Amino acid sequence: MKRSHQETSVEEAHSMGKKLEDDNNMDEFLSALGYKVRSSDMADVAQKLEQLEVVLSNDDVLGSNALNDTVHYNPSDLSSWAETMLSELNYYPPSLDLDPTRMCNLTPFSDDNECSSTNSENNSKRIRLGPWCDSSESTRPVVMLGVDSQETGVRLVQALVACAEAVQQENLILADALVKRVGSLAASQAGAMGKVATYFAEALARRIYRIRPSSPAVDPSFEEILQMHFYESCPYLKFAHFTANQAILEAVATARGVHVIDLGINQGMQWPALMQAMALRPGGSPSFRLTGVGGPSEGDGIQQLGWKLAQLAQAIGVEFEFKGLTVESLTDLEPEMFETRPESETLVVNSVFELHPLLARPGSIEKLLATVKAVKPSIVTVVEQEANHNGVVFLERFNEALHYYSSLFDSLEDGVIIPSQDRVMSEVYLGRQILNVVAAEGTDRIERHETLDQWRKRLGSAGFDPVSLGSDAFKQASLLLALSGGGDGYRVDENDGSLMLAWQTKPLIAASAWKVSDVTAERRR
Amino acid sequence: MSEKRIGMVEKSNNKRQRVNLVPTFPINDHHDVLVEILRRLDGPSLCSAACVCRLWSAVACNDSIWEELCFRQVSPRPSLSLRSVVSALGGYRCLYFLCIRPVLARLPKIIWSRDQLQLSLSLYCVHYYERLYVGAWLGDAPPSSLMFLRKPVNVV
Repeated sequence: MKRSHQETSVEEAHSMGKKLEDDNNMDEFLSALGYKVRSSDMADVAQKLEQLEVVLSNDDVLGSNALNDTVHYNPSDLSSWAETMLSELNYYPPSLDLDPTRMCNLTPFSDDNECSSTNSENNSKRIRLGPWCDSSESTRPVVMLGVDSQETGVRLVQALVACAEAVQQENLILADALVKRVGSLAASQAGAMGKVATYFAEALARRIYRIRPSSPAVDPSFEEILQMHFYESCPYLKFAHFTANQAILEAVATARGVHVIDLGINQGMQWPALMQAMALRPGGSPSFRLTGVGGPSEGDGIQQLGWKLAQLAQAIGVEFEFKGLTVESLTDLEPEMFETRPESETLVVNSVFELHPLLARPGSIEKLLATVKAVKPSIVTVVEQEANHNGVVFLERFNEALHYYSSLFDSLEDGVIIPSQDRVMSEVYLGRQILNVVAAEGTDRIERHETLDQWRKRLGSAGFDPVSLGSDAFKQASLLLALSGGGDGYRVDENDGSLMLAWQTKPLIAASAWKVSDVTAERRR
Repeated sequence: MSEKRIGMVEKSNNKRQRVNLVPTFPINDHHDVLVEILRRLDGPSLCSAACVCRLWSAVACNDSIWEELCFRQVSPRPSLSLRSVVSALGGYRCLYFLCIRPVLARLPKIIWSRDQLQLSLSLYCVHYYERLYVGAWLGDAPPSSLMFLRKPVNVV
C-alpha cells in the first residue's frame, strides 16, 4: 500500500543526508520548477534573492537600467544569476543583514536544509509572503531542533495544500515533487498530524499517478474487522447507534410490534442495545422484527448474525424475527421486499452512514428516499458524517477533508489509552476513507459526505419532516462521551433538534430523525 | 463447630452454676444471614469480604448481593423483568465489575441514577452479543466494546 511512497521518502532521506556532502546534488523542488540550484548553495541563493528584492524595490530606475544592460546566461542557474545581478547593481549588503540571528525567535542550531530549501522555494515562487514566511526567512539555515512540532506541522499542512493546488491546476510534475516532500515531512512529524499527512500524501500520490482502484482491495471480512475496531476504540459509532436507538425507542413507545429496516446491517452492533431497552420497557417488550440489508460481499454472514441476534433475543425474552436482504446497491430496494405488516407493526428505517455512497450516481438517492417513503415508516433515523466532502472543486474537498480527518485522528490520539492494535486498525479504517475522498473519482468515489444542512434540504425535498431528538438522547450521548475519556475533547451539541458529536468544537457526526411529511396519510400504529 | 462459652458463676448458696456467658451466633452456619449482612455493604467492603475465606467467597457469589449493590441508589426500583434480563446476560456480579464499577471510577462525581444504569446495561448487552458473535476474529482476544471502560483514561 505504501510502498511507492516509502521508496520516495527513502530516496528523499538519502538525498537529504547526502546533500551536505554531495555538492552536485540539485534541489528536487526547484529542478521541478526549472531551476538548478545546488543544495549546498541554497542558503546563499536565498540570501542573494532577498537582497535583490530589497535593491529592486528600493531603486527602480537604476535597477531596470542595470537589468537591461546585463546579459545573463543560463537563468536556470539561480546562484550565478543572482550573483551577477547583484554585482551589476553594485549592491553591497549592509552588515546588519549578515547577522545570522536576525530572526531572534530562531535558535541557531542544527543543520537542516529543510528550512533553507523551503525558503528559496518560497522565494522563487512568491516574493512577498505573509508573516509565516517572514519568521522563517533567514540568512542562515536555522531550524528548531528539538520538537517544534507546531512549526513543522504548519509546514506540513502548507506542503499538503500546495500539492493539492498543483493537482488542481493539473501541474503534475510539481505535484509529484511536492508529494515526495510531504512524505518526508510527514515521516518526521510525530503524532496524529504525521499519520493523517501520510494518508493524504498516499492519496495524492494515487491521484497523481492515476493508480486505480483508489484504494487497495481488501477482503470483506477484513473490512468488518476494521469496523469492529473502530467501534471499540472511539465513541463515534457508539454515539450513532445509541442516539438512533433512543429516537427509535421514543417513536415506538406504545407499539406492540416493531419492525426495523436497517439499511446497513454490517455486524448488527446497534441492535442488542435496542433489544435490551425494549426488554425492560414497563409494560413488557414489543415483538421485534429486523430486516437487515447488506451487500453481496456479506453473503452468509448476514444469516449468521441474524442467528446470534436471535440467541440474544431469546436470552433476554424478546420475541424476535430476522430477515436478511442482499442487494448490490440500495437503489435495488423495492417496497415489496420488506413485507411490511402495517396493521400490527410500527415501521422504523435506520441508516448509519449508508446514504452518502448513493450520491455517487445521480438519481440514486432520490430513488432510495422514494422507496423509504413508500413503506410509510413512523420514523427514519439518519446518521452521517458532518462534512462537505462532495464539492465539485477538488481543492475545496481536499481542504475540508484535511481538516475533518485531522480532527478525527487527533481524537484517536488524545482519548483513552487505546490498545495500539485497535488504534492502528481504526486509523486504517479512516485511511481508506481518506483515499477514497481524495484519490477516487466518478462512481468510484463513494465517500461523498455532506453536511447536516445539505441532508436536511435533500430529505425535505424528498418529503420528510424533521423530528426533534429529545433530551434523553442528549443526556445519554453526554454520558457516553464522558465515559469515553478524551478529557473534555468530546462534546455533544444540539442543532435544531439534531445532535452533533464534536471533537474540540469541530462537529464530526450528525444524528437526526425524520418522519414522512404527508399529513393526510393515515399513520397506523 | 460452634463453641459454647461456659463460665462459672457463684450463686448465693455457694453453688457454682454453669451459664452461657456470651450468646454465640456462628455466622458461618447461617448463610442467609451472612448474605443479608453482605448485601448492605458497599463495593470495596464487599470485595474485601469476599476475600476472607473460601466460604465467604462462595457466599459472595450470590447474585442478589450484587443486585442490591447495583441498585442501591436507583429509585424507583427497577422492575422484576430486569432481573431475568441481567441474569441472562451474565448476572449482576459481572455487570458490576464490567460496567458499573468502571463507570463509577471514571465519573466519581455523578449521581448514580436510571440513566447511568440504562447505559451500563446497554453496554453490557453489547458485550454479551460480542462474545456470541465474535467467533474467531483475530485469534487472540475477542474484541470488547467495554475495553474502553477498563483502560486508564485522561479524564479531566
